[in-house]
Amino acid sequence: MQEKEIKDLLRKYLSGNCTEEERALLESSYLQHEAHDLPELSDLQFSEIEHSFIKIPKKTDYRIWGTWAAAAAVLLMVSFGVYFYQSYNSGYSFKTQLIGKDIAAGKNKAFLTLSDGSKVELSNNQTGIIIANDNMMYTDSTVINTQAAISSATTPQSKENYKQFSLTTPRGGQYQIKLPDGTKVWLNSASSISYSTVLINKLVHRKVTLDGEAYFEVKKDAKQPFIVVSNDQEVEVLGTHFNINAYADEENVKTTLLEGSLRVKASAPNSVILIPNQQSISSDHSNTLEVKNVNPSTVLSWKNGEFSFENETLESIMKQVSRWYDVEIAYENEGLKKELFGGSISRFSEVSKVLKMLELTGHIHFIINEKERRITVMK
Amino acid sequence: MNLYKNLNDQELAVLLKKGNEAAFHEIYERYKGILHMHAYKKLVDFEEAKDLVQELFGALWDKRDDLPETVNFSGYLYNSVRNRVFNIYAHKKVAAGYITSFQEFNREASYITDERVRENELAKQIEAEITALPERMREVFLLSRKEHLSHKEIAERLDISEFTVKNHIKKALKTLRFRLGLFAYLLFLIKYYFLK
Repeated sequence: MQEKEIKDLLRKYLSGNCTEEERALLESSYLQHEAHDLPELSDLQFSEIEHSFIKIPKKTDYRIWGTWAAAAAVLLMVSFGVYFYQSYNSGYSFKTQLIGKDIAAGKNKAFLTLSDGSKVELSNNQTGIIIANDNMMYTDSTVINTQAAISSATTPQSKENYKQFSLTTPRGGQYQIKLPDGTKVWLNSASSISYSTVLINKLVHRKVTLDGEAYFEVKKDAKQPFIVVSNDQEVEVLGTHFNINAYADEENVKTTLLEGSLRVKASAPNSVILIPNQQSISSDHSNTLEVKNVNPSTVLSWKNGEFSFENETLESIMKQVSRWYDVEIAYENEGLKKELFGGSISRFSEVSKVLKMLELTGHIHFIINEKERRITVMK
Repeated sequence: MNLYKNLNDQELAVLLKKGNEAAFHEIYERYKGILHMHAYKKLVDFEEAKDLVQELFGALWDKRDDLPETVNFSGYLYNSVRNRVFNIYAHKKVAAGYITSFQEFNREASYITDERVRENELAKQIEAEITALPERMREVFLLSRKEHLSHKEIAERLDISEFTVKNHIKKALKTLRFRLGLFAYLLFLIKYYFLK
């Protein structure tokens, strides 16, 4: 082939008119082509590449502003009319982008650790377990298969095992448990509770340690007070319904009372008694204990299978999304974290639906990266 | 924390489509080295290669709205650089020896028919240029791949390839000889040939 033919072929390639065969030939020859006697680059040249920078062309020119202002204003009004008319008719168009597939919601997932150290993975098809003094089962009375223990103990299962145990949910998991005293606990994702009975001042206490978030319906028993320890806070109750949010990556421990009464003791010599629909917020570093009135249905939405936000910061919302969908969150700029959002949606929707709801209420968009399990928040 | 350093190419591409300047700069930092080195090898002209990369990125920014929604963003960049090199071959008097090279190649009449194989080969060839780059630029690229490969690992990896890459180890070593000096080069040779 002559030089001219080759150059013509290249032009044909560049205009996209090559046959498949010609394309294969050119691209293969490109791969194979190596320049002979290529001079090595000098350190100066390497440094030039290293310090090179790309400039972004700026186009905006305001000089004609004055002349055209009036015309622009008229045009703007007309355009807005058209725009609103169109958006009214076509609905909102979402800009959230998926890289790969959508991300499914969390599910019932947890494992139980017994006092002999054995770990049992609980069924995903069950919602909760019941632990009595001498046996344990799923809420529908199915036997828990302890043979399927992740790590089994050397000694056989004994009744002693049920006196002290812990239940842990991973990110993207939730589970329910009924404790030996009849108390019901709903455990949110990335959380853990351990239960035991202890003697304090010759009185038997029911004691639960909590990391993460849980909702309690404590069985009334005046002779055996119920204590929940989380971070530096302790809650003492007789028989009440309350929710505690004590994630290690949150700044505060939030205790919300729904029924009865309870006393919150924080690390400082602070102590407060809550009445229903009140929430105490104890802060580790400022040693304060604040109390405010809240809407209980928002606080309990997670337990009722919903995400419900009222003027909540995006950072706080995305932390919940992160735990339930087991994703990491990246922000285009840190300022977005403090913006306030609201809305509610089923917790069992795919993540894109939750994010689209947020998109509706403010000017933000998301990139959902399924493979790396990451959500990027942007303006 | 610099968010952009942690994002992968596809995520940066989505941000770029939206007109995010920081994402654009991050893509440039990631790719400028290997694209420049590649263009230099195909054009044998440092300044021309520099202009090519600058123009490629200028066009990338101007046409960001029309970026394909591709999952293979690096492949898109690699094809763009090849098209620009082809464009220079097609219009230049002395096309860096390509014409002769093509004629020789054409006589053998064996080429890669599978488009995906060609794409992979191109990616390998371009990414192999990291061996020639100064440490810091190499890091930026490798970090974006979340892989920290030693020279040996890179060489081994390239060894797997079936086409054109045979010479790459030789060339990488040659580059190393120039950049490290004779003593370090001998050490590397010993390490590579006797300890693998």
